[in-house]
Amino acid sequence: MKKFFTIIILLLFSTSSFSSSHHSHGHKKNKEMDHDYKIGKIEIEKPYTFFTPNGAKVSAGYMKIENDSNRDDALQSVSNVSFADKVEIHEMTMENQVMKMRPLKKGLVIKADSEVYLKPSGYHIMFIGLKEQISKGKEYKATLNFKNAGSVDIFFKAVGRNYHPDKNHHKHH
Amino acid sequence: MITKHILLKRILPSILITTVVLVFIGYNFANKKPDTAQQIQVNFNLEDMNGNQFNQKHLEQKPSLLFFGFTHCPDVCPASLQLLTNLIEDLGPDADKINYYFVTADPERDTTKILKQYLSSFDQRILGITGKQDELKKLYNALDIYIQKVDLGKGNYTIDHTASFMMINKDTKKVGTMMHEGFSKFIVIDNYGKIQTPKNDVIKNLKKLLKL
Repeated sequence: MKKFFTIIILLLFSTSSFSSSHHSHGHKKNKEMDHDYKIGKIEIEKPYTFFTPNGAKVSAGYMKIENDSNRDDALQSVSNVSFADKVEIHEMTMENQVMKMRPLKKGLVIKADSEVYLKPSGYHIMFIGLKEQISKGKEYKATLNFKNAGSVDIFFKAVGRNYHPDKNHHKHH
Repeated sequence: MITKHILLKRILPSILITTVVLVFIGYNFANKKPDTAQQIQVNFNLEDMNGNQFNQKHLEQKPSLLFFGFTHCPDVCPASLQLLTNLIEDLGPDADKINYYFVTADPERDTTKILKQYLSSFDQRILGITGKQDELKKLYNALDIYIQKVDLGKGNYTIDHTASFMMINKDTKKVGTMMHEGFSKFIVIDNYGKIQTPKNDVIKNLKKLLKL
């Protein structure tokens, strides 16, 4: 019964994301509000990726992940990505002005009742071997696989580098 | 006996302390001096993305801002190039008084053609530089740029690299660095590691250090 319910919810979510991607040029405000996902006690807020410079072979995806459960969970892998050869979960650190990037082999832990921001200069989902350019306004599908909560399909929205997930603010122009 | 006691208890410690202090001051002095006006004098022979030579002489034409990165970098490199593009726009007419370089940390993959294509997405004044590994190393070393290839297995690699901009004046002296603050803006730091004030006015600090 529980499984059946989950499937229904998943179906509802995937259809709503699918239909919102069809309206990508029109109802911007509604789309902003639709851009969150939930699986079990895990909530994913506003996944986004930057549109890429010409000829770029790599790109990164960001989001906020909230764990409302009373036990730790972990984003173990990202799959079902058609626009890149390979996907990895990365951590970036800055030490003495040196930028270092490493794959998180055991996944990204989201502690009980806490949240993790995937953001520029921190954690990110790295798309390696892009098969196409990430273009502004388009949405890019991926499946997030959590250790406890299970798997959920999400769409990364392609935005410019002045994008801010909280406000729709623009520094320039 | 008494004199020996005094020597041990009073004079010796003070001599020791003075020595330590003097060594400390001397060490700091010696360390800081070359930092303040490091002149770049290297015989490097590189290539820009248009196929032209790039060497020491080009650095002597105008003050320069140099960034070291690679096109297979998902995060800090495109962010830096976008911030630089915004900065060039903000500089207005003064922008043409500076040369802007994106020097590759990954000559294996970043050919002139790839650099040209990649940089076409940013301000057209940013010039891509590549060349032979040994020749690039001369420039990295001259500017204290840390570049380290890191094997990720299965033929994949990434590169750890200094992610701040180097500021060089017309006399090819390194006058400071421009650093990221939270990936959303720059701050300008002189050779003493002092953040320039006013902190938020990057343009003003840039002009001051480069003497525009």
